[in-house]
Amino acid sequence: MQTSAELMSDLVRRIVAGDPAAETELVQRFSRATSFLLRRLTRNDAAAEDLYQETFRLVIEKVRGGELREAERLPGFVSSLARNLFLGSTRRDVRRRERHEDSEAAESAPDPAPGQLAGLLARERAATVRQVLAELKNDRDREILTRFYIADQDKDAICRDLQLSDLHFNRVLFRARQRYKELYERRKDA
Amino acid sequence: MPDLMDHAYVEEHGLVESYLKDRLSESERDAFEAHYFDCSICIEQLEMASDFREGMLQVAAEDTVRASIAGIALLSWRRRLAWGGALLLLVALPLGFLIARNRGLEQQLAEARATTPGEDPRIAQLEAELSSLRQSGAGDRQRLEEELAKERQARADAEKATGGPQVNVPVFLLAAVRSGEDAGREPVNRLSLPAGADSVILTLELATVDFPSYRAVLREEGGREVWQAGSLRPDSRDALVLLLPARMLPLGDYRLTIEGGKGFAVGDYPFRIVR
Repeated sequence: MQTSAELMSDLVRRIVAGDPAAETELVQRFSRATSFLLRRLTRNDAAAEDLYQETFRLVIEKVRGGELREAERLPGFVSSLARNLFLGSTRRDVRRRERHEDSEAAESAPDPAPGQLAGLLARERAATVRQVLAELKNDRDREILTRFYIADQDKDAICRDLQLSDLHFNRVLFRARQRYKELYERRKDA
Repeated sequence: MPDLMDHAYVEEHGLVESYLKDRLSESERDAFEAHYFDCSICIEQLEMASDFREGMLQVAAEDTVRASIAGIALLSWRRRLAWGGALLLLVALPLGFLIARNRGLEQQLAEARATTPGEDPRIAQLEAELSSLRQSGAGDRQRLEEELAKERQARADAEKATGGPQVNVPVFLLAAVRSGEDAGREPVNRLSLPAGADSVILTLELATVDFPSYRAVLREEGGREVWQAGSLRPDSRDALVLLLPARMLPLGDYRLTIEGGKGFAVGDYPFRIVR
């Protein structure tokens, strides 16, 4: 069985050799993570989609051109390129605003307001989380989740305050997320 | 930290949650991104944890909005009662005074008629005075009724602007910076305010709860004060939750300063409003 480094070397070698199937494989392999990273950075599906296309266009162009010297670093190469493209687009937006081209920028910028679908998904997500919270055995577990996720407190601080062990804390988080996953998948199947 | 991260290291150091909370250093973050781009377990965990986290924040936002609307509704009722009482007094006092004066004049007129039969200049004078007072009383009454209608309309407009139910109110958690730390830098908090938003909710966690109450001052980049409030008490999570009208925050940079005691700076929350 090939190691990850061997897989990457093979993939890069085939792309450099002009194998279109290898390019498709590269996109499939990094699609989910690239999409996740860009959605997280942009907080805007339309902007993330634009940067996603641009990321793979550039990655393939650079790999074909032999710009990636260490093939085992391909995942990091893709992630840093996606991040740099995001930073570049943010800088461009800032410069446009500084040049008082707001109206032009506003016309070309994607609408940051969440669409109806995003709103619906957010409400469904909240309803699922409410169900998870309602199923928790005690108030302290609810408090752990609230302090960790909403108040953004450190795990150590929460454990110290509530006199919890790391193990208990991890267990609460793990169980809540597992339950969320089950409900999420059930909802998806339905 | 290893140059190329492995999954055991990620699990051991709880990097999924730290990454989602932006608590990793730049080098750690880059290394973790390089790792999860080729790790199906991590990307699965990231997606699920991120989704759950977003759900938790959405629940908190919904609860905050509900609580804010309940607070505003309560305030409106109090205001309504206060306005109602004041307007009632405004109308009742002068009318009462006019009625009392009318009664007095009518009594004087009746007495004059009873004691002095026939035409008397005093009776004519009293009748003229009474008639004039009735007319002016009617005029005053009409003027007061018009004022009352205007006040009712103004109150209805004000309530419409501030107290009506709102949905999808944008909620932002502001991060504090240390004094002077952000000099010359772009604000760490970027608030993307939807164009149609009427209000915005700002949540700020206080670094210290040494004071019984706090004062918040919101200033524009140039230092002009936009808003301020005192006697603010943190909630059970040591956080202040502020509901501000969106029109108060046009595009630009702002600084929200929280002070405790006699002007002791507790936290600085610079932010930028973007669309």
